[in-house]
Amino acid sequence: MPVTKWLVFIVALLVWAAYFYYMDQWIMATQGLPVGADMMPV
Amino acid sequence: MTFIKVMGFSVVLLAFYAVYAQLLPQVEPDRSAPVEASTDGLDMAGMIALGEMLFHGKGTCTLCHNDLGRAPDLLQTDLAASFPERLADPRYSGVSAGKTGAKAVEGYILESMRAPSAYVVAGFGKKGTDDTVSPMPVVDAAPIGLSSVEMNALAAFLQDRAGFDPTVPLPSADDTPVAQTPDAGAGPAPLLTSGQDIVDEYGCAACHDLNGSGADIGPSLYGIGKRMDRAQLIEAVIDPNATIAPGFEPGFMPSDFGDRMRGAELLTLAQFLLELPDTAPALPDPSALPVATTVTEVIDNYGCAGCHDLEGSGAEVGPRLNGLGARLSPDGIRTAILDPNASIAEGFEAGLMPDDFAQQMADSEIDLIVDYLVNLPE
Amino acid sequence: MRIPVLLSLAIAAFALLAPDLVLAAGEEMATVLEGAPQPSRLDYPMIGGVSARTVAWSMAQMHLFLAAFVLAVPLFAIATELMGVITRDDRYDNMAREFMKITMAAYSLTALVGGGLLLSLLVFYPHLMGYMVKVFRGQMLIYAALFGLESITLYVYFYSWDALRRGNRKYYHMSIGLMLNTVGLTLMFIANAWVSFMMSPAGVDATTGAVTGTIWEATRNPLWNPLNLHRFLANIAYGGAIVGGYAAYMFLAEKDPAKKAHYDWMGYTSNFIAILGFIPLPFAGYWLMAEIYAYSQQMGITAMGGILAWLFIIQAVLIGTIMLAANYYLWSGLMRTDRGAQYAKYVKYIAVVIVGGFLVWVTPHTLILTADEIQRLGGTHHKILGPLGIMPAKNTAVNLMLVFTFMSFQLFYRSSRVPVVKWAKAGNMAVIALYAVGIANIVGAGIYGYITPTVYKVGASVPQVVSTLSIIIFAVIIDVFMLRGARSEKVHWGRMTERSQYALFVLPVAFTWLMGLMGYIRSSLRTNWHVYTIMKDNSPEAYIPSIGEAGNVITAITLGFMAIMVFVFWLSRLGATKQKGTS
Repeated sequence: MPVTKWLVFIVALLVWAAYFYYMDQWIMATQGLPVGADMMPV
Repeated sequence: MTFIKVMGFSVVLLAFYAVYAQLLPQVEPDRSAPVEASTDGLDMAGMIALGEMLFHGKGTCTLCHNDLGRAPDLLQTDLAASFPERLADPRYSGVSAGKTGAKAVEGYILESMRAPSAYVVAGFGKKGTDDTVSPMPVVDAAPIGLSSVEMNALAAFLQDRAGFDPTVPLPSADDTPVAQTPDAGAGPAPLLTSGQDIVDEYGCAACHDLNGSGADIGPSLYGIGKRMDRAQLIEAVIDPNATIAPGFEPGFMPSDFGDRMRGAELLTLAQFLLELPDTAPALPDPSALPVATTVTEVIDNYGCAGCHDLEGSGAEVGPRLNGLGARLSPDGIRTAILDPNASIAEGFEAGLMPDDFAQQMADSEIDLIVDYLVNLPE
Repeated sequence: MRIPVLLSLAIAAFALLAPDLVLAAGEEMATVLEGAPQPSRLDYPMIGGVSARTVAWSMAQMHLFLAAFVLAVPLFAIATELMGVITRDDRYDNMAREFMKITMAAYSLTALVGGGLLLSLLVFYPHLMGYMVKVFRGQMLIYAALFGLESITLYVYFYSWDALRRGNRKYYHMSIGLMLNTVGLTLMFIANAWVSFMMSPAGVDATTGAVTGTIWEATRNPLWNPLNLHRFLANIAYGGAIVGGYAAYMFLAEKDPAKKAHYDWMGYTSNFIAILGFIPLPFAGYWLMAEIYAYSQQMGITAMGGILAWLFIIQAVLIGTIMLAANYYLWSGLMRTDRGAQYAKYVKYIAVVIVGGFLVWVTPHTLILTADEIQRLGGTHHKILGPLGIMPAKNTAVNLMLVFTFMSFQLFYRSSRVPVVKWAKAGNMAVIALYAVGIANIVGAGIYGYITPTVYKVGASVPQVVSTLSIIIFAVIIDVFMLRGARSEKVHWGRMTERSQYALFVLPVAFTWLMGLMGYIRSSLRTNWHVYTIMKDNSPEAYIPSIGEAGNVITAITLGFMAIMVFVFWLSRLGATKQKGTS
């Protein structure tokens, strides 16, 4: 059981990471702001 | 018992909120009564200055015409290039469409204030209207409510910025006076219209020999008209360290008069100074001067706020006076006025403050100012 | 029972005797061509050294506090009553009745202060009131009549509770309650029309202010509906908070464990109602703000970019304390179940995040410093703390606070339910992963916003909010499936610390102050106008007071209100106390 538990954890991590990554990209794109643009310190 | 405990708890929590509200920057409102200044006899330079004042003040233009992108930033864009472009734009069909020259620009500016939607700069229209409707309020209606003289002054200011000679008509005696109502928020102080008032407000006489002050920290202002022309004089006020008169040191005169004074005030002040006589009038007998009976008169007569930060004057030649009562005893304050070099506050220099107030001031005046400073809050 | 009825009759009589009101209602045509009065500074009555504005402000705010409470409680009283009918659990019915009991005590005070408000406005601002009467004419009489009806329905609703408790009679009773709420809401909508008319006048000539439209046109001005919704939601949150304060007070004062359990449960329910009303408030506020911008860009900028911008920092502090208190209350609630205790070990980590977030939130960007202090600090911003003052840091802080508050709530919710589905362990892992990735995304977007130019700073705040919402939504969805048929744990109501009750009491105090603050902002938006762009305020007090000055007035009014409320709580306890030997 512990093995399955951690397996689920890692899979879930990946799934959520993908979700948040694409959500970020989509939101920035709809605002006309490409993700990863010049990071000029201000 | 529960009653007392719960109430006590509420009081402590509320005290925290109240104290936090005190800790934030306090924007002190302008509580002055409305004043009206006649524009009769204003020359074109005065109109431009008035326009600049309105642009930053009553006209509320800078709320949107700034670098935040709500409206074209009129102070940054190259107006000399953009006005001709706009008049020639096929999307523009207003009064000056297709025309060129200063008069056409005047018509365009005035039209844009009365009917902002006549021409909308690409990208600045209301959302969804494809740049056909302007979000700008009509300037001659409430809440802005500029008069026609005021709009002319704004047009003159913008024409001047674009490098044209202003073509607007000068105001006459029949025009409605420029109303200076106190700003509901952080408003500028009322516009000063006499040279003497400006000299008093900004405390010039504290350092310069003026009004018989005999001060010698800066050069005497009598006969300044012989030594400088109008432009040099204005430069010397707003950028004092650019040229230093022989025998004087740089860094003493505050360099922020350009920000603190309004355009119209600067012009009035320059005129006043240019017209001063060549030499100081014979020093009046101190006993002949009427003795000041209010603290305001004392501060004005002796120009304290010219060097000290007092009620927001912002000067920093001498230490800040607000909150002085917490730092010095009443006797300490008295000594500091009568014998200023006896003890010098950290970070300031000795020898700058006049040491003859004991002779200049009446005892009652000294009592007034000491009493005032003791109780002056931070 | 008699005092408010007499009061409402007195107000109706006053309306009849005041010729202005009656004439305005009857002869509409006579007023059509006349514009808004333009009194000069000297036309404003000066009475001794009394600050007219402070008097009118205090009266209006106090009336609003009481009215908001008195209108809101019947709303959830009837909802609770319905719960009682549906679940056939008498506890709900008893609680609904007890809600109404507090309202009854506050009702006559509401009328009294309302009369005081009317009087102070008539005395100090006669021209404005004259104009308002011209615009709204007969509506003011309708208001007076409705007020009488409100009194009658309120008293009948409360006193018929036990007589109409069982069977079909219960539905008669609930119908009375429904009528009470209808009348109450109508009263609020009418009053809102007057207030929103002053901000965004409609139905009058745009230059002179002469009445050109119907009463309905003036009522249905651009800001009326946004204000209606905002106040409706805020009233529910506020009413819940005050009733929670009542429950906390009673819990503290009570010695009998059974009664303590009852008030603990009442406090928990009220707190829940308050938070439920509170969550949609920012969205209603956003709508109101958007409508203000649409109506007048200048007004919008005055609120968000001008001198009032600092007030939103105080608002942040208030909401911060509310969140701290609500979290603390939830953590204390874990002790009500034996299972909850095992979650207690996580509380300290959540607490660190919430307190840390709160501190970041209150860090001001620009400090007011003397020249000497600037020298010692080496600049106007602190080297280490300065960056915490800017927007990305604050956004990150607030989103983390929200996520962890939700986590507190989830722990509390789970403390009384044991999942029985097979995949419970895997489900937990998925939720933990969700939190981990979501929080990482919020922090990452914060850092990204911090090192990029301003447009990106603003842009990066959106994914942060969406991350927060995503965590909440997905966690709720997973929980719904995971807790299907969950075994419920015995909840020991009353097993709460005294300190937790003070946390519950933070809510009414902070809410009241917050409402006072928002009232100050809303009124200040008109700047130096009585009726924006139509009737100028030329009184000596037309300026916007500084934050500190306003803070003092708000604090004083709130203190007065809390004193009244705690006194009312004390009274209602006194009413239930019997001297030994009497029956």
